[in-house]
Amino acid sequence: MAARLIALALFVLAVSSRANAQTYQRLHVKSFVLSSSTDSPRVEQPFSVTMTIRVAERVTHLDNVFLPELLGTEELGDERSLSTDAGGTTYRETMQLVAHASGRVGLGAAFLDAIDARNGKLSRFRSNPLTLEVAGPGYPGPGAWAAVVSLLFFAAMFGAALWFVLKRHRRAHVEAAIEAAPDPQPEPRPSLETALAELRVRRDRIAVMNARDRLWEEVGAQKGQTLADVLTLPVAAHPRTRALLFALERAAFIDEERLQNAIDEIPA
Amino acid sequence: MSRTPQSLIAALSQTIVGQREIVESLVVALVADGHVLLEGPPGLAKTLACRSLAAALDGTFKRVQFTPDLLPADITGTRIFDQRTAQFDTVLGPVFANIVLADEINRAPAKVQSALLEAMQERQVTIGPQTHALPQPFMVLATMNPIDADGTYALPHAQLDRFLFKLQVGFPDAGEELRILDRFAVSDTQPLHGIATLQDVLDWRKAAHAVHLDEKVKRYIVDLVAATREPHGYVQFGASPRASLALAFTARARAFVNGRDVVLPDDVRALAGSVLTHRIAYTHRIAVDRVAPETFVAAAIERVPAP
Repeated sequence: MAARLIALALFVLAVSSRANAQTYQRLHVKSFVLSSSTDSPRVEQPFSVTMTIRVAERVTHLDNVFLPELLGTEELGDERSLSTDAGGTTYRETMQLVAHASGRVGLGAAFLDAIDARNGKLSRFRSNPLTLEVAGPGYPGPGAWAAVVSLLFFAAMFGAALWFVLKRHRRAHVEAAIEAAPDPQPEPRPSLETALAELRVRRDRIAVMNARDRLWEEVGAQKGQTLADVLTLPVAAHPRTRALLFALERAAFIDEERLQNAIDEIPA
Repeated sequence: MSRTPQSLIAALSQTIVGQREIVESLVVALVADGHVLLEGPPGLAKTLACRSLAAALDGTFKRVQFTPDLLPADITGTRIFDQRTAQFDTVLGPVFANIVLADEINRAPAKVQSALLEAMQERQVTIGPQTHALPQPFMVLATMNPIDADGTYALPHAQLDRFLFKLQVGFPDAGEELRILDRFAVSDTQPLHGIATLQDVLDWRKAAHAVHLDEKVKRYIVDLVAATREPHGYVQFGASPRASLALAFTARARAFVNGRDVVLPDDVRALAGSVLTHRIAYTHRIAVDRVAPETFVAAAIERVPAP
């Protein structure tokens, strides 16, 4: 924690001293890209990482450009170019790198400190970071991984096709063996009146809950709502529906001793 | 039982304009034998509601203005030496009343709050060697002002838990405010008397205990309280089983007040916000994100399907 605070203080001091000593360019940064010549360089084989900054202004140089952290790689050389055209300036810096070990290498973002022409404020523009898979002994690299994945995929597809053919073949045998039966039809749901008639015959809690469910469905209520919600629905304004809602609600939650009395109070 | 809770609500609503829900909740809390914490800006008839409730019951009413220099003895009472008799006399404090209004309870330090809240819980006060039972019915209505937080002492979570309800008192709408102007411009309000008796309240409480609470509704209560305990960035810990009990008591009382002999899921859902919101310990994030605890609890309640 203390180390972090010291580092932060040093950074603030550095930034403030630099701010005092330097002037910043006023730029309209249009793009700021970090790219690599390959996503999967090989160990000990040089590759290049290019930082490209496009600004709308025509400038002869770009100040306060910070290269990315090149952890896990060694820099062999660096080449800069700056070209201007009618649309602005393109700054390009290409670094020749080499990795000495296989594995994943992460290159952080590059920075450009400048006054943002859009709002006049000092800003830090950042490029994208880069992640590279360095292939080498013991690390096959993404190309090899892709080959393995492809092989597994095709094996799985072949297995699925085989299973499908065998299943169809077996079902055809079963279907031929049994007599064709009519498609099962869903049991028709009883209407509210049927549910109420059943309630008057059965006179138990299950019949009450069935009738309540049917009534709620009929008025357009959702499962999980309460009576107060249901009473706000336009259909519930009808006097009989309203009386039924109240009576069924009482019968649904009353104790067993008073259930018969509650059922008697349900309007016909 | 000719005098019903509904007649009390109707009479109080005549005096207190535009706070129908608050009036109903006060009567429900009275029937449920609970205490109420009212939170709202000044001038919203909180004190009038409490005073009217006591007057309507022909009960005793005491108001205590909580201030930073208040002492526990100012609430509970003390013993004073009488030189003529050479004995200590006990002087009972304002807590010995049927309805006690603790105005701006968060302006007194913790030891004074504790004295009141202990009396609320135990229904008795010990002064010197003697223990004195509080009158029945006994109800504390405490108020808090959400603004002017400087110099206040926030109520600890354990003490908030002793309030059955925490009610948010809101502003009346334009029509209600016009009615307030009409009523109070001409004369002061007519005091209510004899709408119900203290014995009626005790009878109502007995009757409310007989209201049936179905297993499905009990399950709904448990699910609602459990919903406040689900891991969430705003919740440090959820409501306790005391909240489930409180929700069951109040749901029975509400059903009784509405003339029913059975608790409906509606009763539970209608009261869940007032019962649960102040019983949840929130993280600082809820304040940082400027989310009202009431809004958060309302969303949690909505997620639980009613039976």
